[in-house]
Amino acid sequence: MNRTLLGITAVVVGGAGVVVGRRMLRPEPAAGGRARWHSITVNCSPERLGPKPPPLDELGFPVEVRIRPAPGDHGTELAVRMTGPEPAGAATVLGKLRDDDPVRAIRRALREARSLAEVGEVLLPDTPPTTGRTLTGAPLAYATRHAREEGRL
Amino acid sequence: MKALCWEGVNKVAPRDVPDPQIRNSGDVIVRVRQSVTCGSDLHLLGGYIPFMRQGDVLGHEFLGDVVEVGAGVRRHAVGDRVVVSSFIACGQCWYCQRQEFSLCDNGNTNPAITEQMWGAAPGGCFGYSHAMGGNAGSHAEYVRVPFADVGAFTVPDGVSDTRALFASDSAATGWMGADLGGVRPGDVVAVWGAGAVGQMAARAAMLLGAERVICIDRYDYRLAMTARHAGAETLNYERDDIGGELLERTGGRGPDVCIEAVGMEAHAPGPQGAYDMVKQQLRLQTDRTAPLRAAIYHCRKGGTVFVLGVFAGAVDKFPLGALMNKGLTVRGAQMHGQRYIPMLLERMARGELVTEHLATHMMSLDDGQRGYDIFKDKADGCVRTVFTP
Repeated sequence: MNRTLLGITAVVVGGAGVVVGRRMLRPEPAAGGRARWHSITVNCSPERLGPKPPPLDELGFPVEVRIRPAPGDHGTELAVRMTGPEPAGAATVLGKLRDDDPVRAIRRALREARSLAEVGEVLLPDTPPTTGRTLTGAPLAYATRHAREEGRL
Repeated sequence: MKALCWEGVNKVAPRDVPDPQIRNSGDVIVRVRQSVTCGSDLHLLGGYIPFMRQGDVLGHEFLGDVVEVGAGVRRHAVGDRVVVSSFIACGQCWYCQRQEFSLCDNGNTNPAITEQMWGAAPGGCFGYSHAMGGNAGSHAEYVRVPFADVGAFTVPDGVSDTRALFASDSAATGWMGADLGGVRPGDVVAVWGAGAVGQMAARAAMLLGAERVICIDRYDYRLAMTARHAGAETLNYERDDIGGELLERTGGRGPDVCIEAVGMEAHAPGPQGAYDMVKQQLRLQTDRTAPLRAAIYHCRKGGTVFVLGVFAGAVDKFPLGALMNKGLTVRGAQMHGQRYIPMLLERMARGELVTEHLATHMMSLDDGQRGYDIFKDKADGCVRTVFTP
C-alpha cells in the first residue's frame, strides 16, 4: 500500500469516525426537553400527502406527525418527533449497535415517505454489488448501509 | 459481464461483475455502445474524492441500446438507441420541476454522506462514488438506468453514436455554464479550460450570441481544437499575459461572463501552483483552484462567474474581496442534463454542434488503464478516451 493510499485511508477512516462519532454521541437533551422535530419537505399538497403517510405508520414506537403547507410553492412540510425523549449519549450508541435507534428509523421513514409521495416508489441501490469486502472499504460500507438513516434531517 | 473497475489510487482494471438488474419500475437496462472518460473521473482515480470502494464500476457519460424495460417505463422500448444524462433525477420533486435536475431529492440512495459534507445532498450520478449514490458506472457492457423516462433520450437517426455520446454530460455541462452564466448577445465570455467541457462551454456561448469567446489553457492542441470547432479565440497561460490580453480584448472592462471548466486538480504555473499542490497533498485543502481565482479576478465589475469544474471540499486563498467588492455573481452546479439534452440532440442533428473530434482515442475496456493514463497525462493528443464495451 503506497503512502498516498495510506493517507486516503486515514482520511476516510478518520472522517467516517468523526461522522459516526458525532452521530452516535447525540447530546443529552435539556432536563424535561422534548425530542426535536425531524422535518422534510414534500412536493405535493397536504391533502394528497394525508395525515400519516406511509411508511410513518409502520414506525414501531409512538410519534407525533405534523403536516403544514410550506411557504411559497415548496409543497408540504412533513415533520415527525418521538412522543418521549430521544435516546442520547450511551443509549444512542447502543441503539445504533443493536440497529434499533429510533431517530435513524424516523429519518429513513421521512425520506421514504417523500419518495413514495413524489415518485410512487423508493429508489433502490444496484444489486448485486460489484465491490468486495476489504478492510479499507469497511467504514464506507457501514456508512452506505445507513445512508438514509443518517444525515441532517 | 465485463466492466472497468476502480481498484485503488490510479489503478483501474477490467473485471467480470454481475449483470445489472431491474430494481425499480422506472429502470431500463442499457447495452452500452460507447462510454467516455471524464476529467472528473480523475478526481476519483487520484483518491481526491475518497468515497470509492475496490470494484466500483467507473463511467458516467454514455450511450447505448435499451435491452430491458421496467414495468413503469412509458417513453422507451427495447431497441431504442439512447443517450443518458449522467445525473440521475426523478423528474417529480421540487428541484426537478424547476429543471434543477442535479439537485434531485430522490435520485441519491446515499444522501447522508453529502448532507454531512455540504449541508444537503445533490442527486445521484452513475459511476461517481458512494457519495453520489454508489451507482454502477457505464464503463461496462450493461448499465442500469433508473428513472429512464426522465434521464434517457432517444437519439435521432441522423446523429452518430460519437456525436450523441457527448450530450450525456460534456455538452450539457458546457451549455449549462453558458446558459446559467447568463450569456447574452454581445457578451465577451472567457472560458478557463479547453477540455471537452470547456470546448462545449465555448461553443454554447457562441451559439447563444456572445460577441467574443476567449478560451484559456496551456495545451496548444486543445486550444487549436477549440478555435477550429468552437470558433473561439485562444490564450495559452504559459505564454500569454492573460490579464493584459483580457483587458485589451474587452476595452479594459474584463469579460462579462467567466466560466471555470477545470475543477479541483487545476494546474497553475509558479508559486501558486506549488502552494496549492503541497496543501492538497497534505490534505490541508481538498481542491486546487487557480483558474477559479483567475476567473474572479479578471471578470468585469458586476459580471458572472460560473463554476463548471467539479470541486469536493474546501479551498484556500479564495478571493472573497474581489467577489464582494466587484459585485460579482458566482454560480455553480452539477449538470442539469435532462434540461438540455433534447435541445442538444436537435442541434447535433442540424450540425450546429459537433463533438466527434473530442473522441481522440477509442479503446476496449481491456485497455482501460492505458486509456486513463493517456487521458490523465494529456499524452498523444488525448482529449477524451472513449471505451467501446
